[in-house]
Amino acid sequence: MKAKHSKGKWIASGVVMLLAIVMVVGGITGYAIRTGSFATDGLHKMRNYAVLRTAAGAIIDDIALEAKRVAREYADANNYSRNQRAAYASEKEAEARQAAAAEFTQFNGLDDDGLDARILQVENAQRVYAEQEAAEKELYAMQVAQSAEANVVLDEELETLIEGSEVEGETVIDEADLQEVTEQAIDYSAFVPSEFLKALQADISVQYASLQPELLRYLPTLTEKMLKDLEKPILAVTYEYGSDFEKQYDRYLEMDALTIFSKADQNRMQLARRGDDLITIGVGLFILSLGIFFFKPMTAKLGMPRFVILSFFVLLCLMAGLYGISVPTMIGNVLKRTGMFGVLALAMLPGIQSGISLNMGMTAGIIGGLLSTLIALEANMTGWGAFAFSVVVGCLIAFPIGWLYSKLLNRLKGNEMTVSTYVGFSIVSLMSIAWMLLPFRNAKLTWALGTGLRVMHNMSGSFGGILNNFLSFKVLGVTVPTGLLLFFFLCCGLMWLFSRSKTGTAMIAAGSNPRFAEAAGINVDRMRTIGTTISTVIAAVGIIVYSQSFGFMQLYGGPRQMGFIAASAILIGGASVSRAKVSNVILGTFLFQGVLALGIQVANAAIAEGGLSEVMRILISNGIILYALTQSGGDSRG
Amino acid sequence: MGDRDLLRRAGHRVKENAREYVVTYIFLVLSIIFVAYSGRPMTDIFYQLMSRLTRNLFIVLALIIPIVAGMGINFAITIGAMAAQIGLLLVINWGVTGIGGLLLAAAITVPLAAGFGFLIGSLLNKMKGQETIGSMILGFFANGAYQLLFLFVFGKLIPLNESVTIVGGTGVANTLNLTGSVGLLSALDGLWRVTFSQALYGITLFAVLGSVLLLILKKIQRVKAFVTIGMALVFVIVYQIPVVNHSLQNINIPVITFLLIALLCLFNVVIMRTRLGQKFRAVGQSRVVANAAGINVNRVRIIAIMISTILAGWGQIIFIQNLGTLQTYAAHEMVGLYAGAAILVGGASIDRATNGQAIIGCILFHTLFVVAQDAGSNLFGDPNIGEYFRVFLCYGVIALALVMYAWRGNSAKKAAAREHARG
Repeated sequence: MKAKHSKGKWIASGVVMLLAIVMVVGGITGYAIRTGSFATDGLHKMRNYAVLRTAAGAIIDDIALEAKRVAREYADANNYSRNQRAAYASEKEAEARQAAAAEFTQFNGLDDDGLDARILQVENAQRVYAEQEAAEKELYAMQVAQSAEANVVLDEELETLIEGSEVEGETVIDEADLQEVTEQAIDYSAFVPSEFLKALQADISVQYASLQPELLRYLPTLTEKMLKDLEKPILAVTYEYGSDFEKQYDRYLEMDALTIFSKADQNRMQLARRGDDLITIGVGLFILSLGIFFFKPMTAKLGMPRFVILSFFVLLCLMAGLYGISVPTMIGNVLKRTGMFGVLALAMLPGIQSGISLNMGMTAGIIGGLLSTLIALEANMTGWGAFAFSVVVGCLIAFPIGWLYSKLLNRLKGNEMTVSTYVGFSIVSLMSIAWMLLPFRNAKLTWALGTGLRVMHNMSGSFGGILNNFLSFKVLGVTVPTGLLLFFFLCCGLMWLFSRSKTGTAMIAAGSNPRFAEAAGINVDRMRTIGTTISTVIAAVGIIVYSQSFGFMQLYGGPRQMGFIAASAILIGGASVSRAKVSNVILGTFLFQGVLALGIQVANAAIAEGGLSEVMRILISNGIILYALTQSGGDSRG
Repeated sequence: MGDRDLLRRAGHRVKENAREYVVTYIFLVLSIIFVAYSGRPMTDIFYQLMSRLTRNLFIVLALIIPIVAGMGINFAITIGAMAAQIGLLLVINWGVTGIGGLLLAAAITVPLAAGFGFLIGSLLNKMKGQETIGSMILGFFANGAYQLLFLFVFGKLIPLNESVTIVGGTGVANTLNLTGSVGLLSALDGLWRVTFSQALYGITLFAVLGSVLLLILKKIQRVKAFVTIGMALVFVIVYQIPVVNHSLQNINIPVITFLLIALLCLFNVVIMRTRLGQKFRAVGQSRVVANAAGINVNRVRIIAIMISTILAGWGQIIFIQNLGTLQTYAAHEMVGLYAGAAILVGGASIDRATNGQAIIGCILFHTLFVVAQDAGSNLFGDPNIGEYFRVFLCYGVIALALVMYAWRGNSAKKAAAREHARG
């Protein structure tokens, strides 16, 4: 029986592996074709054809229009009824169009060097212009973003966004929406191109003018007016932002440019186009076959949900590859989100280690961080001073809260997670009232109409992105938020050092086996107090790091979900409700945020409807917590 | 001597009572203050309160059985509500109107909710002692699955009429209307409505006649019968006071809905006298003892959750037919939280609950709900503060109940340990 089962496993993984090898070989062949001269020449031919086909389009349109006119005149002369006239005219028009297309889309000698060179010049001129324009616009956006007007526009946009996404008094804002709003807020109507840019634009027209005789050589019937009208469509064919093989191929394909090849060559071109997709699928199948083969030991080691999430992560990476999402942007996003949520997830660590399981009441610490940031914003502090102030004051506020909170938890052993979840929720809603009543007076912080603090606070005027931008650099197109990651690893390192210290060891012992620890002379209650307090303080720092990276600070319902996000991250990283290490935090945050970051982009590319990423977060986050609860083993607790 | 003893005993009882019902008393005081400061006419408050009770009582009563079975507050009743919403969606899609439509939706709910209930129960059996938090997170998880189902499966894989899908997209529309040609609004409530005075006199007549009948048949004690009759008469007399009479004037009572609620109360009482009910209680008191007595603990717990989930589903149907609109993606979200908070306000705890506590809790909780916004704007100058205060009370009540329960459990454990050490 068992042998049979394992046979099936062998066959399944073998078949998948074979498929994977076929795919990879196909993909590599495609790549080889792409880099070879065949594909380069072919692409040039396709481009020439696409340009000429666009130009021919003008002639065909003209002929069709003329045919229609003649047909209408004929119909009028013969007293056709209104419907008959229209039907007759469109029939004649279609006929003429077909005939013209047959006549004007057969081009000989597409490897003509003269045409090729001219088109290349046009394309180069366009590329230079586009690059210069992008650079100037980026500079302009940066200048505008600092100005007050942009912030006013941004605030207005934000308010509409918040109103739109309010559910049962709780605001859930999709990150993609926020990004869109931030980009929209920059108004380019006042953008003035430099003289250099204008010159570059003029150069494009000059280059196009020199292309015209070449076009006329192929299509002598092109009139002056047609050539003028054709400038835009042809320029759209020759260059578009991002001109790698796939983009060019797809663009020319729209003009039926593949028809110029023989059947075999068409297949070769297609193979070249799909080469990387085939390799991606091949790698996916390869991993799948490994997954089938090692299914049992892996699920046993990782646990089912973790295995599912890992597989999901791999699947998303592959899908991102298939949808042609830019890999550097993606990696940059994942790095940013890891650092952004990392410190918050780290706050779970001392809680678990000291034996209070998942500290859902870390929202109490988050409140401390929000308060201190608000004070910094109220006093109009900026830069590193504001950041340092927020962190220090946040810790000072969170410390007594954590200490008191630990006293409560020490009386409720065995029920900490249940109680702390609701205590956390209560604190968030209690603070919602406080946000309405606290005496903050800075006009940037309060609603213009009505009382209380705003829901979202733009950090760009204060210390938004200060860690992200510190020593930040670009390598291979990946923006590395050096400062953010350094800060995260610094916090992790400190926690690691602490867990090695005498107190830390005692705390972990008290958490993993309280009775034994008690017998060994460790004051378990004191250790739990230390763990809870540290957890609360880290949460305060965590929300500050989060806000500066996110660019916005969220009050009211904003912190409610943070505990869940942090808990799921550390659990995905391999922690249980009674055992956790620093490595669980780093790995878990990376995996969880990676899945979310990739998920948002893949979902946007795959289906137009939003909301899928939010659904995914709900499922993953709560699924992993449920799993951890079942693993904590029924009767042993409570 | 005897007098002093009696006094001491009475004092002890008051103290005990105060400790047990501290949350209820706090809520009572808060309600009175809020009602006074809301500045709303009593007529309006009573009217709102009555419609809220019509909507919510059934769901709150659905929480009792799992509490008795020792599974804490079953926040996973949200999943029962989701099952009901699936049923309602299908009924609207098929265009079945009136009470027939509601009955069909209720019928669809049964197998769905029973299946979900089985899954919930099985999962909660793996996290004994953590059911409250477990069921809450399970509710969140199910919400994700529900959204997946309604956004990406319905409409795409399961074809639906255009009237219930998002315009120009796939997935179920945000709001489903039960009014107009859909014909489900008040399909149950509207069957038979009477005015408040009619209901009061009817119930009084019923209580007096019933008591007399039972007295003649010698089924109840004489004192109890006289108390019932006396109370009924007092209510009637109080109702004659013009202020009271005036405040209650506008209220219509949906008789069938309240009959169903009464039936559920009866069910909750009767089931506890059956063999299954005995098992619920035994498991609730001690799983170890119940297991030793040969009860299949896990099975009993699953049955408790299944019953609760189905009842919650029916409760949600009552809720939505009263409201008239179905907020497809939000209507179920708060069900567990509000119901849980309401029953705790009534003085129930994590391991004890009765019909009376559910009803009192529901009345107090929803009174506060009705007036919170107005009181907030009158007391603090902003209606939002009242709103946030309301949310805070929801979570705060649950947190307090959990803390008190855990506290009691831990001090009982400590006392037992001390006893053990001494003995």
